[in-house]
Parts: sequence; structure tokens; C-alpha cells
Amino acid sequence: MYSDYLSLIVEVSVTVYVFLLGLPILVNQIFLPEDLRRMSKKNYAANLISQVLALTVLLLAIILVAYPRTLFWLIPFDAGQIPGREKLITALFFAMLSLTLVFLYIHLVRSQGYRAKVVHIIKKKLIASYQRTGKLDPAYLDDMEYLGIYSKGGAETRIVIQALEELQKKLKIDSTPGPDNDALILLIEILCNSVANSTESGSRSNMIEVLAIYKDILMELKMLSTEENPLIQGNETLKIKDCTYKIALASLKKDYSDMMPRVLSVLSLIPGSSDKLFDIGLLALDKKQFQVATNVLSEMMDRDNLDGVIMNNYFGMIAHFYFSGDAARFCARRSLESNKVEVTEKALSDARNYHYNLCNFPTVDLIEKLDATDLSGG
Amino acid sequence: MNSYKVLWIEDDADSDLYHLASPVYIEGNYHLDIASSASEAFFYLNERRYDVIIVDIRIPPGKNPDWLSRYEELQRNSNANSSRLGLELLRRIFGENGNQPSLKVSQNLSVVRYGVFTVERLEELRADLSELNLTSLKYKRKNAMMPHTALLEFIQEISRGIPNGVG
Repeated sequence: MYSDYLSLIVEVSVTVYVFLLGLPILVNQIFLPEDLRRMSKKNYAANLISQVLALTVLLLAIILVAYPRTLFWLIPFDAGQIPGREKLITALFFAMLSLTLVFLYIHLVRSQGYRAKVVHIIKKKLIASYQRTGKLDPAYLDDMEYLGIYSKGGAETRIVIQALEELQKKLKIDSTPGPDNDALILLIEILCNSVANSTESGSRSNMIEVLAIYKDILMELKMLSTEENPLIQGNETLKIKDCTYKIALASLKKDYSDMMPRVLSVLSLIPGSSDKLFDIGLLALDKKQFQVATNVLSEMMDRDNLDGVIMNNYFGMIAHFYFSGDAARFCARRSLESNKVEVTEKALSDARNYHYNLCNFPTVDLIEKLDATDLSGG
Repeated sequence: MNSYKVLWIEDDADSDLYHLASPVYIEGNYHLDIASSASEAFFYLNERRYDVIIVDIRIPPGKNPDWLSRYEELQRNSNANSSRLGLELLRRIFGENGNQPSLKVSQNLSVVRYGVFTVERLEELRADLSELNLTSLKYKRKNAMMPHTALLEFIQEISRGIPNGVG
């Protein structure tokens, strides 16, 4: 009878122990989404070892008390000590059972909001690596990007964006001439990928949030720019320009046209962004979103230094407007008039050549059809 | 080009109030910049010169630490006024009670260039505006029934009042 009780305790303890070993896998399978399971460049579950260790010690203690002679060649307990042994093994067993339940509870709780916790851990590790080496650990950065791309649009992506925003605040922009701010460039790209290249449908508010971060970065770059070191013309700005364009395209495809003032507001801070404005304007015209296209046409001429490239892109847009119906034609005429733009054969020829070199053939054909005299009101 | 440069300080311009901006763009005479927080407004006012500046009274602080701390300070003192950073912006531009402006903006400090476009009633603002000697400031109230051309009309009203036109 006594021996049966010990055997039962040992058997149940071993079962509990084996169950615990499989617990993380079980919890992962049941509660964690696939993207979190697959994201594994770094280990975010270090405390599992201590849990397994604690239960291993308890299991060994149970076996030691149950079979001191058989397994460990120790002196068996006296008959008089048997009640004490029973109590001890029962206590050990319940300790093990309680600990297992505690660990199970911890795992279940951890699986709720696990994404936010992992993002928080990655953010802390990235900040630590940046403070230590001046660079961002690429493995953690990859994990963050993975989470940004594969998390569901909306609240899940927002967690990643907020973490990246906090990280951006910690990054110091190096205003010494020469090297790029690589960490910042990477961060700009990950933000873009999270909202514009995500496998899930991007959320409008997240796109706006990312554009707001870009605007903050641009404002800082502009304020730090000097004549000797025009930071605003650096690769960081170039990356923001590309990313803003990608976000604009993604937003137009999803019919978030009301985001456009924000897009234009970001592009207006970027020197030489008329090419992207042109592309956005074309897409808007193609999708019959004339409100956006008109905003783009107006924004294109809102530059203190109107150079040849801006004028070429402007004439390209005018050509597309001109052949998009009577009302759009009227709008093109009004734009030329209010901006006091003189349309000459040379200006049109320059614009034609410019777009030909960029292989914008439909634009080239439309400019070809424009009549300078007619446009000048002659 | 003789277009007017307009700064609209409004945090809802890219959502609820998006349609107000379009008539301004399409009109062709105005080049519009939109600042969605006090920090952005501060940046634009220091960076560019504007002919017309439209201020909303309730705007968020944005990311600038100075504005963030001011916002928190206002929140601690009086919750009702914590988001009235547009007023705080005007206070810094024009100076209060005859004091020198604490914000060194490169703008023409003529009151005629500024307008307040807000949901708050004029009576609620009167005391603050008289403290700032800005009782002559142009005012327009935002409401759900306003036409899409409301902003354009307000800009036109202000630009007509600028003595020498575009400056």
C-alpha cells in the first residue's frame, strides 16, 4: 500500500514534468499568432530555463525520497520514519503541482499582449545596442521589421510604430559633414514597410502616424542644416521622399484620399520632390481623384526656387490635365494663369525631352499635343 | 508669381476638414501649408514667410519638448485650457500685456495677417484676445454646417485686409 502510494506520486510527478516541458510549445501553438512564432532571430523566452530547472530539482527530490535505495543506493528509511516520508513526498508533489500551475498561468498571461511585450523587449535591446555601439543591432531590427510587416493592420502595427517612434527620439542625428545617419535611414525604411509593404491591409491612422514621424525628422534635419552641411539634402531625406511616395501610392490604392494634405505637407519640406508629386498626381488622375490631382498641381508650384525639373514636371501634369476633360482643361488653364507661367515652345520642348529620358512616353505624347500659343492665351 | 502664402494651423485638416483645403488649392491664388500641431506651426513660422496665418485655438503640442512641457504645465493648472495652444502660440507671437514676444518668429507681426478659425465662440475668447490686444483679429467659427468654401472665404477676407497685398 505504502509502495503503491509512492509509485503513484512519482508517476504523476513525471507526467506533470513532461507536460511542463511541452507547455511552451502548447501555449505557442494555441495562443500565439503565426508571425510571432516564426519571428525568431533572437530568443525572447530566457526565463523558461529557470522554470524547467526548478521543476527538475523538485522531481529529483521526489524520486530520491521515493526510491532512495533502488535508484541511489542510499540507506532506506526506518519503518518509524515512514509517516514523515509520506508527508515529505506529498509536500514535494504539491509544491511541484503548484509551481506547474503558476508557470501555466504565467504563460497564459504572457501570451495575452505577448506582441506588445516582445516589441518592448526589442525596443529596449535596440536602444541598448545603440547606446553601446552607436549602431542598431541588425538582428533585433530584422525582428522589428518582421513584426511590422506581418502584424495585422491597425492596433498591432501601431505597437511597432510607437516603439520605432520612441527609438527615433533616442537617435542623435549626426550633423558632422560626411557619413549618413544609417540608423535613422533603416528606421525610416522599417516604418515605411510596416504601413506600405505590409501583407495586411494598412490602416489610415498608422499611415498618418508614420508621415507625422517623417515630418518631425525632416523638421529636425532642416533645423540642423547649415550651408556647409545641408543635411536636408542628404540620404535621410531621400529615403523619406521614397517612403512618402510609397505610402501615398498605398493610400490612393485604398482610397484614403483625405490623407493627401499630409503627404503633400511632408513632400513640401523635401527639396526636389516634384518628381514624386508628378507620379502621385498621375495616379490620382488615373483613378479620377481630381481633388488630389488638383492639390498636387498646386503644391508643385509652391516652391521658393522653381527650377527646370519642377517646371518640366509641372508641364507634364498640365498636359495630363489638359486632356482629361473640359473641366480639367479649365483647371490647367487657371493654374497657368494664376501662377503666371509663360508657355513657350522651348519650355514644352524641354519638358518633352525630360519626360522622354525618363520613359514617361504617354506624358511625352500629351505634351506633344499641347499648343504653346493656345495655352498662353494667344 | 503673386500668390499668397497661407499657413493653416489645424490638427484636423487631414481628416474631418480635408474638404476645406481643396477649394483653396483649386482657387490657384493661394499656396497652402498645413501645420497640425504647435510644434509644426513653430517650425513653419520660423522657416517660411506667410501672407496669411489661420490659427485654430485647440491644437496638440506636437513633439517639440518646449511645447510638450507647456502643454503638461497647462494640464496641471487647468484642464480646460490645456489644449488651447493656439492661444499660447498667439501669446508668444505677439507678446502679452505689452511684453516683448517670447517667440522670435520671422513673420510680419501685423494683426491683419492673422485669423482665428475655431469651434470656440468669440465670447469665450474675448478676454484672452483683449489681453493680447488682438480684439481686431479676424474670427470665423467652425461648425458642422459650414460650406466647403468656408476656409477659402476666410482667407480671402483676411487677404483683402492686407494693406499692400502680398508682402
